[in-house]
Amino acid sequence: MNLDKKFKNIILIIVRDLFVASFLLLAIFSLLELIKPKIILNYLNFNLFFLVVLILGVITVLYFEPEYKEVKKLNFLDYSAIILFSVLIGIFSLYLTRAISWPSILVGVVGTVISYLLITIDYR
Amino acid sequence: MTNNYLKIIRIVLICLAGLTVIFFISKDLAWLGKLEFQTDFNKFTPFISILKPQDQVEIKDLAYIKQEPVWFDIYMPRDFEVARLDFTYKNDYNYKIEVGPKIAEDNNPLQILDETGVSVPANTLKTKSLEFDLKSLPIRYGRLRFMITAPELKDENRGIEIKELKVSLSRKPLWQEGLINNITNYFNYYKNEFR
Repeated sequence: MNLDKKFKNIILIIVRDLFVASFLLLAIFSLLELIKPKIILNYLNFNLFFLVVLILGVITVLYFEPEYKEVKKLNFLDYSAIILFSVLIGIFSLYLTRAISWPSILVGVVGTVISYLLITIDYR
Repeated sequence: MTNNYLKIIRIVLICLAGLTVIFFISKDLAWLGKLEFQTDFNKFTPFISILKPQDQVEIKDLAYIKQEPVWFDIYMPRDFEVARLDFTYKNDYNYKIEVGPKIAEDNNPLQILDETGVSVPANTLKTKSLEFDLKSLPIRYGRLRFMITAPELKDENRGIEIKELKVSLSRKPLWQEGLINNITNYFNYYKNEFR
């Protein structure tokens, strides 16, 4: 039972690492696309890749249980910065997926929420 | 022990992410000196358009050309020296077919894809390659238009069918051109064609 829990935790850590790696890749790809359009889009289905990142993010947020340790309490300024940053990520996600019409708004909202939850995961 | 494995997994993930970025950049910059892609003309791909005008073409199992001329566009992410076009097609009525870049209304530098009178059994798929020197051709917005003509094609029911087109664009590879030149040429092309 204990081994099962340990194994499950390792899998979740790997999923979280995969999410972080794919999220960073998404950010780098987006930056490259802004510098030279279609440098990545010509070779990669961006919507599919975005979906994979979202699924990994959702799994991480729902199931990953971080080890709780003493962390400083966030103040109003910290929360404002985190919210601003999350909204920026949401807008960026919306911009990147604007080709799929109205679902891009949903992607933007989900992106904002996931970003906020992930940034504050260690403070809850 | 577990932490060590997790560290290794993290290092592998970081390496994989870095390699993925390099892979896509090297593809677009054609560091190997080659970019290849193919189409069956069913839909737009990032590099090749469908056959146009659309009312002169029917998409069945193969792309059926019922009137000529038709054309398609090739989109080039950077400067290339040579384009090789490999056509797989059916020419059951033995038309003379010519293919080439569409530069003007007339006087286009066409090459012969198939000759009149070379009789083959019906339903035979033929494959033929044509090469074009891209240096002297006018590329606009990173796009080069090719046309397919068959002046003898008059009857809509006796058309030409194209199964597949493979395009191979080539240029000097990175080790011959040098990294600085390669990147400079890439950005010059981008600036001239897309800005």
